[in-house]
Amino acid sequence: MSRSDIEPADSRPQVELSEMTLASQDTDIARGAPTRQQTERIRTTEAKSQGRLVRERFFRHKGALAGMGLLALIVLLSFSSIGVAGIPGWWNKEYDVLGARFNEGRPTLTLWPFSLGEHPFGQDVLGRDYFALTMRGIQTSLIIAMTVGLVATLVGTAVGAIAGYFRGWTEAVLMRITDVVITIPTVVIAAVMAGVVARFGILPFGVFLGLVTWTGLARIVRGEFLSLREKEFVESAKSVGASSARIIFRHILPNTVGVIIVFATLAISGAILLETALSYLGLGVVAPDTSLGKAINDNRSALTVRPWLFLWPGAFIVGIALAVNFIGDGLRDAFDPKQTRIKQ
Amino acid sequence: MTAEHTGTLSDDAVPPADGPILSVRGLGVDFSVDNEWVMAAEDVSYDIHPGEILAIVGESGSGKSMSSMALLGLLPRNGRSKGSARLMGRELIGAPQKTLRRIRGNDVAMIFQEPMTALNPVLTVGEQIREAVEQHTEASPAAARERAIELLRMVEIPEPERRYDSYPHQFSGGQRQRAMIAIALANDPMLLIADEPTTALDVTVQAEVLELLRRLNKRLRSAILLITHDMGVVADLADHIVVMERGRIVESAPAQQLFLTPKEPYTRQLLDSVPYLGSKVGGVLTDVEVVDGSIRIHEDYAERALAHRQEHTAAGTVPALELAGVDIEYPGRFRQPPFKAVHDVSFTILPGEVMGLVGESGSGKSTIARAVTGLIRTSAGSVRIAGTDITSLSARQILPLRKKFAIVFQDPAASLNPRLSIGDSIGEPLYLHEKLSRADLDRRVQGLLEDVQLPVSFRNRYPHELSGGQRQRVGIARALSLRPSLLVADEPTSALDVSVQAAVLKLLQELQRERGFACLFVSHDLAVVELLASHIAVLSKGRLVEQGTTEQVLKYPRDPYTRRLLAAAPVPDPTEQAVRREQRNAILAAGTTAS
Repeated sequence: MSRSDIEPADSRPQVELSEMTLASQDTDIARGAPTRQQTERIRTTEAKSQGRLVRERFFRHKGALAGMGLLALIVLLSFSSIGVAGIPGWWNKEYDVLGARFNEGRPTLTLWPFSLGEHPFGQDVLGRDYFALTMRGIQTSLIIAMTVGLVATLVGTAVGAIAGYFRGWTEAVLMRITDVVITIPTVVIAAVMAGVVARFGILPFGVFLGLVTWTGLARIVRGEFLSLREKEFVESAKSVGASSARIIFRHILPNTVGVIIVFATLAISGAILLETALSYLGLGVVAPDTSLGKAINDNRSALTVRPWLFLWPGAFIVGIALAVNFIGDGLRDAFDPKQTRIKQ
Repeated sequence: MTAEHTGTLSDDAVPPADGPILSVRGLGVDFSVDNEWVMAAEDVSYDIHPGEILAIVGESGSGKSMSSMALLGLLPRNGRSKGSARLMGRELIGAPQKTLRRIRGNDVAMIFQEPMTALNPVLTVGEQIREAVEQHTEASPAAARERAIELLRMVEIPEPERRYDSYPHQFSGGQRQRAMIAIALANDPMLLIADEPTTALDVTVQAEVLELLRRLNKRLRSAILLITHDMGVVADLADHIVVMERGRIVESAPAQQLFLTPKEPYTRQLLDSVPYLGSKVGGVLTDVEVVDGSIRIHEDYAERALAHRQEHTAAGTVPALELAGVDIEYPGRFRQPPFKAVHDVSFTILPGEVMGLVGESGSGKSTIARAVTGLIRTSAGSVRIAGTDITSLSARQILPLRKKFAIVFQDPAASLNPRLSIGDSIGEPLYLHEKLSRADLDRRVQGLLEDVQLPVSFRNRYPHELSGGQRQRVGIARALSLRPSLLVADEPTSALDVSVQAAVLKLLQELQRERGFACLFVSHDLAVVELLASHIAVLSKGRLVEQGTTEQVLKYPRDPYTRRLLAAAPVPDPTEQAVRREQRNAILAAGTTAS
């Protein structure tokens, strides 16, 4: 997920990687019928592509791996249990089916001996199975958060990069657009767009949220570009005839990956909260569909009486946000060649 | 020297009549890096006597700055010092911060390298000097102001009463350094620590500041601890020299002795790697004679010596680079008029020739280097590279031509992309122009790394893992990757230590001979240019004031500016420097009256 956020910086090395596969090398060597010595020489001095170095460093980052594992687990649990897009999962209850409340809707989950029971996360006031409901909420929230993170990061980076690199009237126009978007309160356009969004589902809702939250990144990226474009290594690239696209993607963007990833992880956690706020106003996800934020909101008065209605979605929000932050940390360090030893 | 200024020395410290001002014994500095103590300086011992100038020389990382910072308790948090340093009998190492604060700026003062950053931009220069006075004395504001103006006069700033209210940005670089010296002298320190005081200055300004330091030292009888890497500055100023290498003192001797008969191999190597102005052509400013502090120029010397020189431009060959009447303007903003950085510059470089382009900061030499490589547009004139005028070409039309020329930048740390591996950086021009297969590209990069004498395993490293000299080798490899017929080198060695500079220059020279490319070598350092260039062009304020063969320009300069430049460059030889100093003062004096 957040890997695709930094697509532009990452894509090129991967192209080179495919050209650098062992197969292509082997045929080259075979054609030349080299001596053993030559083969060894090529192997010892083999160039590592940037993509490979980044991956190696990422997989050495323990925190990032833990984050990856946690996120994968959450995704797997939510999508496999209640199924997705009509495909049934292994859990036999629906999130929108009302039923009789069993033992005041208390969770039946016991850890020792492990058993899920009838309603592992309990039931809500209407007697819906809260496990299915939470799983559905995770699905919705994840899709929205990732979409927002992706769209906001891509748009923000593109606008900031183009404005900062080309300057002149391009910059003036793009930055004025940014200023206009900043001045419009998110909630107001959300209210206007609510009807449209409700008709088309959560994916367009996520895209729409992304389209109003990219402004901060655009400004930061523009600032980074303004300072980096004056650096000598950019001049050096120009002097050998590198194109603008190459300078942006190969020379400047990788140097801004740090701020972009930090923004992306913040945008993802922020999106979950924003979606909660909008759902509360009845402008986002609408019943009977649910999201983690909406689940918490619906049951906010139940904190003292039925804390589990509050606890489960809350725990998953924290878990997702933490996992995303750890992955972001790992990616940032992986892209920084100065990071030789990986912490944690 | 001032009426109201009384001695600020603490009562208990009565200076011994003839003893040293500062006596350092077994001083050591360590830094804690990852919970391990790393030695930065060890067993440093020396004495400084009143009126003496002691120079600590060494390359970067030799511990020369750190051992001096330790004297004043100015080490970073992770540093610690041991040993002993006695200022007039008082122990400084281990003294409480409160005591040290009283000593700093009072008994001991410091001058820093970068005068722009050491002065506060929002306060006037006068206020900053007055502040230094008020910090340590009971002087009334009016008296402190008087004292500040007097100090400005002492460091030879014209119209001190008016300049008192000027801000640092209204001062030139040399004047800012003078203001720094004034602040340092505010309380008549016994010891002045000058950490690379002239490194950021142009040679002519450096010469003036050195002269000022020398005069002040004679007048005030204070001692100066000079920390520098520049052997020329040392030869000009120092009485006693301490050479440091990797935290230890290698050799300590009086200046004359050290330059004439260096004992240690490291000192000899250090002295050998310093480019010596006039070493190739045999002397500089041969036709200038100093009589009673004024100069006499023998015009006929040049004619006699150069009568038989061959004509420079050989007919029939296409020059590698030809500039004709080039003007370069930086566009103005709002109501500011555009700034004309280069006026009507014309010169020619034949294939295989090295041309040195010399000038001080702001002379437009880097601007020309960038215009030649198509990074900046010219506003008039033509730039012909191998016969093709690039000024009228669009970016796309220049592209195929870019194989013919390349540029090496000044700062090797900034000119390599920190996120690209060395191999990718070197291979980029090849990748862009030759569309090689990955395996071919790898082989070419490998060959280039070997050419610049770097191990092939460096290709997977990143710029921050390399030293300055190694980075500059990478810069050269990258520039030569397409086998250009013209190499533009913009101060390629000015960010490097002398011994590294010597190695890089040697490499550049070898590669130039081997491959026969033409080279435009831009530098502020005449001695470096002399080593490499067969021809020299001198720039001043965007105009070409003089050009000719290296011998012609160095020995028989025609233009007063060239003479000033040549006279100001210090030579690493105290005996010759003493003679040259006289010449320098005469020429500088002639220059100021003429301009």
